[in-house]
Amino acid sequence: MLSDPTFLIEQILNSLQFSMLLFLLAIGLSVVFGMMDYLNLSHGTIYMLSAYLAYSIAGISGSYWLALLCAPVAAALIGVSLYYLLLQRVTQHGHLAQVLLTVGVIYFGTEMLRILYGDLPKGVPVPAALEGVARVLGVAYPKYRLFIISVGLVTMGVLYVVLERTRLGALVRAGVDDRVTAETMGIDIAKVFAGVFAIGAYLAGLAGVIAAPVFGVYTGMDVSVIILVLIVVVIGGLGSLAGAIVGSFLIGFADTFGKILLPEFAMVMIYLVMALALVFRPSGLMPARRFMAQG
Amino acid sequence: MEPLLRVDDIQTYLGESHILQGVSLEAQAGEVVALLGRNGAGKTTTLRSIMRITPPRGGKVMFDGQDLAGLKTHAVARAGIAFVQEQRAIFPSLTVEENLIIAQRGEGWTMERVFDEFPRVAARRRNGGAQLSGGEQQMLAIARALVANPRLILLDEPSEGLAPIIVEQILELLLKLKATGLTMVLVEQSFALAMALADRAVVLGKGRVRWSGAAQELRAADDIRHAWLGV
Repeated sequence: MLSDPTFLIEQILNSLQFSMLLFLLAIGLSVVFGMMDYLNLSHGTIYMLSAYLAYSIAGISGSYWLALLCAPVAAALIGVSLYYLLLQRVTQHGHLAQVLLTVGVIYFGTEMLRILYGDLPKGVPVPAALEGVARVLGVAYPKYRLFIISVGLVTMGVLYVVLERTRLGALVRAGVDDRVTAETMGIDIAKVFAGVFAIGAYLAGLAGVIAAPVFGVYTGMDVSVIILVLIVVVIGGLGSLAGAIVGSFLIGFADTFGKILLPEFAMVMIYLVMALALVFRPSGLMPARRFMAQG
Repeated sequence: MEPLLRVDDIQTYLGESHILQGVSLEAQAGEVVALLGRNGAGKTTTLRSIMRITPPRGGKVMFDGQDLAGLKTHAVARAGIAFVQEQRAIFPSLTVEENLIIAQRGEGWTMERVFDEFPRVAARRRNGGAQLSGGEQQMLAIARALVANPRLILLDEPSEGLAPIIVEQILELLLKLKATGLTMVLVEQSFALAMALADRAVVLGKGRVRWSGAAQELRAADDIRHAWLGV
């Protein structure tokens, strides 16, 4: 199968597309965990919610682009409200309390969406401008999927510049390295964190909107993806952009090619990649904290 | 005259352990106060209590006439206190320059002035924080405290783990800073270094103040030194 170049290119593009979605979800989860040590499993709920919002906005207005503009912003606002009204109450109580609370939010979100939208999966049509196929290395590939890849790449580029080249990015990295020391330098880490959380929720929302036309909108879309995203974060290393990028590519490719090469054992490929990564690099391939300097 | 820093009978707990059982000390503007004592005496906890990293449950900390009670750590820093932690705590994911940029505040010590005073730090400005030697990290930690233009610097064991020649350079630097009128509270294991810098000394033992007075008097107070410092 893989000796057919057309098929191979197609699958590589599919892998890239899936990697980008994983990345958009992983980066927020990773930095939030890295900075506040908060394990927010309801990150996927924001992704799902945004997909439903996109379905409604696109359905009512007839414009996918309006949905792309508004749904992630709404998702970010809801995500931030959720954090400050509810999630932050257990910040000090450790991962177990965080997991319990955020799994509760997953159930709550799923049921609410089921009540509002019903059980049937919804579709969001591909916008007219991105219908049809384009040629990539001689292979016909859906334009919309190329759009997903582009959104992912642009986001990676923007995040790289902001995180690695600006004072704001340095504040975020300092917070991930050592929150207490950053505080002793007069940096209000809670404020930095609020911004990080909002951006993370926005990107999860963005992932929800751009995934909707390809994967559909249904309750449970959050849980199926959040597990893969957790694996991405674990493999890549907490709190680092490079880690989220590398982890997303590894899992995106392992998932896509696993389904082709070993259809019955697709998940095995992913866990194999995770196991190998953890055996050789227990703290992830590219964790933010290269070493701990504080006493 | 009202001291710049007045710590009055603070009580600090770590979990259920009662670590500081009524520590008091003062620093007048321009003065260097050494905080001495054996390991576990409560020296670092005193500094962390002033910064409200481990907020005291009782007592009072006044800085420049302001009660620090209820402030978050970043607000204490913004009130004008810089904290140079034990083992430096340089951010490894940031370059040397970025370590300074995020701390920069106010006027007086600018990046340029710091680089002039610390040529070794300047030479490494584009390097990552994780790539510095211990001495360079200590220099950077002090430089980072200065660019915040604080009125008081809390220094926790600046000589720890450094070669004697580097310790001498650090001492020279700190004497220079003292000459500019900067107020410092210094925790130090090296008695010699502390005596070379300090105007006054406070000796802690088991979470309480055991002695305080002029640094020169501590040299003569053999019984106190033997009982609480082991020197």
